[in-house]
Amino acid sequence: MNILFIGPYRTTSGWGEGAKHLAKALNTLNHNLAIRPIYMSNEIDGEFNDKELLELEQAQYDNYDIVIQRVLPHLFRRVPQTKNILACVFETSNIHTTPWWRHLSFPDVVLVPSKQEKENLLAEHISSPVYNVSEAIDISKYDKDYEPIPELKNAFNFYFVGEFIERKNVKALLMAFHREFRPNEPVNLVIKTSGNSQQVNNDIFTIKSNLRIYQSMEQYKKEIIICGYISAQHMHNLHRSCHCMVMPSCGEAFCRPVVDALGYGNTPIVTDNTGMTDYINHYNGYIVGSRIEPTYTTQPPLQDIYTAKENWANINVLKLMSCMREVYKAHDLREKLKSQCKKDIQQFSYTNIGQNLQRVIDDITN
Amino acid sequence: MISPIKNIARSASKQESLNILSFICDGYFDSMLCEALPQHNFYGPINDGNKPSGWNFTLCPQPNNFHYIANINQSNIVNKINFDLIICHDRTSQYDIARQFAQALHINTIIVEHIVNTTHLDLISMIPLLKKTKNDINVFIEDITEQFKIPGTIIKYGIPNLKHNNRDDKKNQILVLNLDQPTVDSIQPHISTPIVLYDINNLNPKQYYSLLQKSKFYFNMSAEITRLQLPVLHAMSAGCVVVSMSSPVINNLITHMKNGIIINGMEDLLEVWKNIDNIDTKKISQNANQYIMDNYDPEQFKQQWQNIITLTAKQTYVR
Repeated sequence: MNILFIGPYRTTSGWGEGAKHLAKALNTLNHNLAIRPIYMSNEIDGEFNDKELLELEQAQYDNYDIVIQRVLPHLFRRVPQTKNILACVFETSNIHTTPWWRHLSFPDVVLVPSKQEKENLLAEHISSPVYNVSEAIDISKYDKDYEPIPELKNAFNFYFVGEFIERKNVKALLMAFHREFRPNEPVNLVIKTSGNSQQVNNDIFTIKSNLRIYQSMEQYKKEIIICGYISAQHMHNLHRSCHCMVMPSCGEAFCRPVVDALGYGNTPIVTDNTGMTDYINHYNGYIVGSRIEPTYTTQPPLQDIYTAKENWANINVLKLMSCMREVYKAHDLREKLKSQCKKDIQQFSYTNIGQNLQRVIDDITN
Repeated sequence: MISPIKNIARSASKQESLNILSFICDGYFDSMLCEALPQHNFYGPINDGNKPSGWNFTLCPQPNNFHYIANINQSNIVNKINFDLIICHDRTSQYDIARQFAQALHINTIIVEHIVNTTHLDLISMIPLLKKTKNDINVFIEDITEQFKIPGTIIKYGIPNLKHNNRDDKKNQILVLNLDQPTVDSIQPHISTPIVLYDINNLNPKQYYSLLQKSKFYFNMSAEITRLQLPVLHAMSAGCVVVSMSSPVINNLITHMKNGIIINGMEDLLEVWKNIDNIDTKKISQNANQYIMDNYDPEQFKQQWQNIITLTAKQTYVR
């Protein structure tokens, strides 16, 4: 069978990472696979040199039995005389209120990475069949050697990896951390985010000054902020130097950094009622209760997305504080969770996700 | 909303006939390319409903596989036609528009560099323009890649063999296509050979080729310094003795008294004409034709363009 995969694997965003690993999962199957990049943003990976993917980019076949498009729904187009699969990842609920709804009826199959996203789509009567196939991850990377980050030695390190946008709810994380931990405790908060360093620091300053926990800003424990792109090796060093990933996000279809935290055995704390609860549970991490509320954001990624017609899950900050404290204190429990994390990460292997994709392929071609 | 999906899918599968968004050059080159590659469709953007003024449609009728797109920015054409690649001919205005479409449609761009001589160019000021086009495919019509310091493929023009079967049938006349009547009138009294002047804009291809084939001499009084002039190449192919004003471009093409005659002004011309009976014009005529056949082979033009277009269409678009 000839398969063409089109995705943003040459970009450095989460979408790019997801596309890269989906291509690799497809490559474990016994099909003729060709891949081609699409650019949905300007975050281009100028150092792209993945040999496996570069080779797949050179492949060309007369025609294709299946075209898999990992794109935002409005970019999806039916390629004639083939089965068209749309692999989409979005946090949007009440999809019928968005222009995407119409586009989701065009593919032969829609792939989503979480139960929650599948249920959302089914509840809204999307006419295309919807399959839940998780994102794939390179699970071989977690145990590789690393260089400890000096600033993170001799302390317990909470960390967050993600965009500095309202949906990610970094405000809740800052509130929980500074409210729960005194400045003299051997605890760090690391924030690895994209974007402009000065802007991020200004935003953090504003949030903290409005918390008014201490009289002066100098009294707050200083966070460790890492902005912009860092290499895979530096990201590996960061994960290996930290202990607990906190993702207080209001909505996640999948959340690759949390899955990575799972692979590294760094206890994940996540928001309930998000896509993250597909793979985070009480045996490998912490799920913090949340309240479903209308979406409110001043930073919509697209004009018609993240309106108040959609819902987000707002994390319970008091519960988040107690979870963070518990993880910090309970070393033995953390070790137990860690061993479960290491087992649970296997589900994301290329082979496993490849097999799930094969089941979808079998369904639409038989 | 433009989506590049269909364009990407086409680039990943083999296509016999390609759709090319082809910015208009000068009509000559566009016709030459369309005629060499009749299996592909060329779409030339124009600003409004009018045909481009630079294209001489009498001499170069619109090829069957060339179509116009008026007001491409407002047009829905990119949603209707799945373009496979872009061809453009300058690195400024055309390229900026081409780039927008290349980025939106995820297709590659070929930039054809028609400059053949860089001695009069400020190449340093061109560096930003050249950098901007680093992911594109550069085609040069002469080997000036070293001066431009960018990689590229050299594809020379393809000039048909217009040699007349019997050179003795040629009339002892000087064909002039790019001069005005008063200038011709001022030269004629000093030259024994009759000068025949035609406005190239009024000639159809048959008349044009026939005139070149019938004329023993061809005068080129233009001192074009950067680009090749196709009438000069056609005249040489037809075995005319080209008498041309010196210029860097002409000096690269013509070796004085070997495959043409180079003059530096009117005095020079009159001097040459005094001795014209002593010059072996038959040999020059043969050499001129041979030079064109050796360097501007239409079959090679066709093959090279077919190869580069096929490769460009299937090459993964990298931003």
